[in-house]
Amino acid sequence: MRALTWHGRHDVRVDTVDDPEIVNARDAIIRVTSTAICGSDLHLYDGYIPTMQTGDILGHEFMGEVVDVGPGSTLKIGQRVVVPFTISCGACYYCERLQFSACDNGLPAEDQEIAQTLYGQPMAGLFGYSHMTGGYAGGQADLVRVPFSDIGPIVIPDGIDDDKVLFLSDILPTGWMAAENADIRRGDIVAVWGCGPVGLFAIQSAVLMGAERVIAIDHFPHRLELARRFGAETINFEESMVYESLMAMTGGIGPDAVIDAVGLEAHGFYVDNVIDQIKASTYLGTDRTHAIRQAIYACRKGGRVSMPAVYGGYTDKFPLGAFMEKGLTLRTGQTHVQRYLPALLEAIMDGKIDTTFLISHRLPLENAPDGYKLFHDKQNEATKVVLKPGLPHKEMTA
Amino acid sequence: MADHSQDRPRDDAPLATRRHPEGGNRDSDPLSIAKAGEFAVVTIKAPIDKISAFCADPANWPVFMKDVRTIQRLNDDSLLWTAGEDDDTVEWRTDLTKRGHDRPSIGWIPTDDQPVDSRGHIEFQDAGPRGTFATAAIVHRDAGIKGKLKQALFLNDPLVQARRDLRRLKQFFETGEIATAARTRAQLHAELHGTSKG
Repeated sequence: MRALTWHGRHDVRVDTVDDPEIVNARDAIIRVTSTAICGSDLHLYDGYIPTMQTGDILGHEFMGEVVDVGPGSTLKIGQRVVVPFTISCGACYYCERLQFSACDNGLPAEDQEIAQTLYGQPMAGLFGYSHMTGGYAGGQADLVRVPFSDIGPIVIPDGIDDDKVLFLSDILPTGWMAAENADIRRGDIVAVWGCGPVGLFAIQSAVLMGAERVIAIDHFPHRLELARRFGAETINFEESMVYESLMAMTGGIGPDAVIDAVGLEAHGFYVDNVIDQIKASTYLGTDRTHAIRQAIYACRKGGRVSMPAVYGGYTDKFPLGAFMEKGLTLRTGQTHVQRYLPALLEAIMDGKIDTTFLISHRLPLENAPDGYKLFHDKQNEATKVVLKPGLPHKEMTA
Repeated sequence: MADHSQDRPRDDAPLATRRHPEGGNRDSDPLSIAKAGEFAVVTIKAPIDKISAFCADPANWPVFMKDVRTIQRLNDDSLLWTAGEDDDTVEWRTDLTKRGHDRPSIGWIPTDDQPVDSRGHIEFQDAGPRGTFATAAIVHRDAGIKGKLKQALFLNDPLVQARRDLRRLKQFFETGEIATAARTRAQLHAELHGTSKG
């Protein structure tokens, strides 16, 4: 089969590799019909995530048709499914409590040591996202092996386009959980840092949950324009000072809830961010955490901080004093995708949530390296790149 | 200066976690076959009777001890272990131990002049609605074998060895399978045996 493989920083290629097979009883094999490049895939592309190996197949946002099942799978051949990016067993202490991303059994035993050492406990497995998260092959491929297929994938009724449901695999439930973690109450003012896909879905979710005002912060005009579609007010941090703007827009109180949808590659020419950049580039540090620092600083006293953004290692200059003195609450974590799928699928089918607005580019899987470069280099225009396996490579102009 | 360490009241932490082994009687602790801190604990969501019955039969241990191919019970007290594949195998013998403790447990120590110095202890504790706490110290020390087997058996330190084995035991009981990232059966075979079946 053909698959997008990682070969180093800014070096991804479409290679021919062995087809996957049923290995464990609960497995299914999915023929991928649509797969997307996630913002967090760019952390792999930029070489920020350790434990990648040459030839690793990328991709954790995908859907397709069931073509083979193990005896323990509940799926049927021919069904269309969206697959959560987290690999969770459905049986452990955490899965029983719907904390699927904390699953005890999703990671192979050999791959649990890094997370055990780094985080104290191992987490669930992830598709196509380094050997720290299991070394599972991802879905930017013709075919993919899906472990625990009786728990993860959600069956999609006939007649619904891939584009409408593909983002159930990650970014829609991630945006929804971000808003849920912000404990939004009717009448709240919510500020969202980052208008990438997760930020935009968090904005949409916050509005659905009753936020009176949502303030979106980014520096890409097109992304801010998309945020405006959902009723958000905007701050372009290259044009305006963020803290001062937020204070002015909230009567000096600050937002009731703040959502960091930026993560470890924060942009912007700020003293703390420049120091983070230098430390990251010299291997003295890992994460660039300007956005979460600013969010904590701006949040109102007693407010809520939600952090769906991906962070991998350590940070300093964390405003712990502000956090404590203002009595803030922080909720975060990888998304418990399986928990949200049925309700979000229903919301899509009822027309309450729109996902297709996000897709800026549709490319053959064969053009995946072009897609990564585009998504990486042109973040204003490229809001979401969807890849289609099985189509011939197409020539692209710069 | 007088040593008053024996006079101090002990805390409730297991002996095997003590920073200063001389501060307690480690001989009474079955887990002290490993150095302090070189043991692992997992909670398995299954009844203690079921897990301890499974583990009472050493023939089942290769299910969760990945580097071991077979374990044969020679008599009530001794085991024959086999690791490796085809012409690259090693066998060693151990005696089963019954070290005094009030919890269900299994253990083994090496007999004399074996190529692998293998010893271990796994014990189980009822954890109520959470299932069963399983605690293990597992040590395979190099006693002279060479080549790929040596790499497979001794790559991991005792803490990692115990943790991986217990995690596989947990996966087996909670999910019915052992998690693997292998994409093909050939990759799985290579992962399990360090070779490719083609």
